[in-house]
Amino acid sequence: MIFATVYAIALLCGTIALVIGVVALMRRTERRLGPGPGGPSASTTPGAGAAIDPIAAYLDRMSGELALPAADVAEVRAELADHLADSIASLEAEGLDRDSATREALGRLGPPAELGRQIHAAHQSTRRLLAGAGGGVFAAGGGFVLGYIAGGFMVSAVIIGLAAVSGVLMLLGLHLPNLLSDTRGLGGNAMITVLATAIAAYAATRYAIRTSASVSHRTPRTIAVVWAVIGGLGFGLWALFGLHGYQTWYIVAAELLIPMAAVAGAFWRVERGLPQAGRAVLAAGLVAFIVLPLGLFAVAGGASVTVSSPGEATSFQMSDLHLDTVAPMAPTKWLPEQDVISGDFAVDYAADLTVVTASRFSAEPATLPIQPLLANWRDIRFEAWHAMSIDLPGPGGIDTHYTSPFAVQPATLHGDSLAASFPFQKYRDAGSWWVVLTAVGPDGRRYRLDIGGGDYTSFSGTAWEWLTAPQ
Amino acid sequence: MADGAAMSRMFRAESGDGPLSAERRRVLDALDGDVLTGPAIARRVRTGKSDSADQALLYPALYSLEARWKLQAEWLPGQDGVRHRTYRKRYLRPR
Repeated sequence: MIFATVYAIALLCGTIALVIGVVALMRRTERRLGPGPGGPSASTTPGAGAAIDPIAAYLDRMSGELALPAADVAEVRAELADHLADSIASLEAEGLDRDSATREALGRLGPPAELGRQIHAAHQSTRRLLAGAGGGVFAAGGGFVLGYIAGGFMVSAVIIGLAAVSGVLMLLGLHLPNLLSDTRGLGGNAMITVLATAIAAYAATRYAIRTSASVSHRTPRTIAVVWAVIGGLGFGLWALFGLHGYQTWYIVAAELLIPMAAVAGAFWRVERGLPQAGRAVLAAGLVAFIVLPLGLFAVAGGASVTVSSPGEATSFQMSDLHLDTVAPMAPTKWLPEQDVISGDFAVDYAADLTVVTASRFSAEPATLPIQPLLANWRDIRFEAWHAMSIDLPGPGGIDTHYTSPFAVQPATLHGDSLAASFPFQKYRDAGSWWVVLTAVGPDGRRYRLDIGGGDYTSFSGTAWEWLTAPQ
Repeated sequence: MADGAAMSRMFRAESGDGPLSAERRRVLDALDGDVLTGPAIARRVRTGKSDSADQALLYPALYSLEARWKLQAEWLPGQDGVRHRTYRKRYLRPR
């Protein structure tokens, strides 16, 4: 417990430190990549009148070869302008007129295009490249955290907004389908997580590109391809094999958006600066997370929607379970009526298995050995059938749309009971299920030995496991 | 005035980084322990040399030395009150 607390505090402090460090780094990055009013500029171009034109033309031609961040280009222009001013002044002191001094000063620097190419190459060293890669990885980490937080807020705001609209529409008498009713809310939660992760992947790639461009003295566009490949592959592999949790078709589809978001972050308007969270954004956030929920609660209170349906069954018959779809009940001559076989199940979360057991009960409320009942039976097995949704009103039971079980496991003796394990959490569409114990009797026909029981299991695993899972 | 064609030949012949390497060495020698602007370095480098008009490799040399963390550049105000870009050698240990 103490270790977990210390670990949680260390993780929180580390994350906060990472975010603060990355925010500071990004401020510096944006100053370097953007023209920035505070930096050096070509406004130091010397002289006046006729001398400005050839110098400006020379600097423009030279700058055309500089594929560098804007602040670097401005710095080079300012420094060369300063140099030319000094040279021209020296040459004029030696007796040359202004035009001759300007031509001579420009000539000493050589052809502008060659000079631009040389200066461009000189800016890019292996050390800066390595520093840029390291800075990019660091910024990607902070960008992911910030993007995840922002993404969580954005997705939540959208959901709150949709909920508010839905509440108003229901107040107006419109019946809306509950799209997430079959997932017990797991689908909604997973979707929030995945969409927030996609926004985080976008931010991580964006931060990585702009930081490594700034540190390595390259333009964001020249290194975007490298980071797009790294981000697309890294986040793609993580989305397929790393994200573990509830899965269904629309969650898997959303997870495939994560690498696409990373690639989009590398190319979409990558030259533009990162947005600065100003007062308008903070005000919008306050509106989204304070005013909207209050409005939602007000709407929900006024709506007081009931979810009862007319004619809801309060009791049921055995025939409502449709167990004869599985097999007829075993005749009493082979399964005495005073002996009842009853099933039970438990979930082994560590192994993602549902353990099903069947035990013998008699008139006494005690468990008896099941072995004496098995003499007449062979090929004893548990059959898992798709079931009516147990979240709907009614007893549940076999879904008669299916004519065969979706999973079968042989029943094995464990002590005085029969048992089997079903990996329901690894079946793509297990959902509501019903497990029945069946066996082949002396007449060669298969019979049902109990009425079984059912539950709901959601898929738990990675997108890849879902894609390759049995139906 | 420097011959543009000759400059291009020199750049092309620089695949071995010879002229630029030599310019970098001259810049480092000229700087010694001082803090100098580009034009001041140019004057020191070219003093007494026959190609005193050639400054084509000065800034590529300065920027590449800065990129290799051999020089540290900083915009500082000069005696005229105008900010100039200055260079000084970067040392592992502060002097």
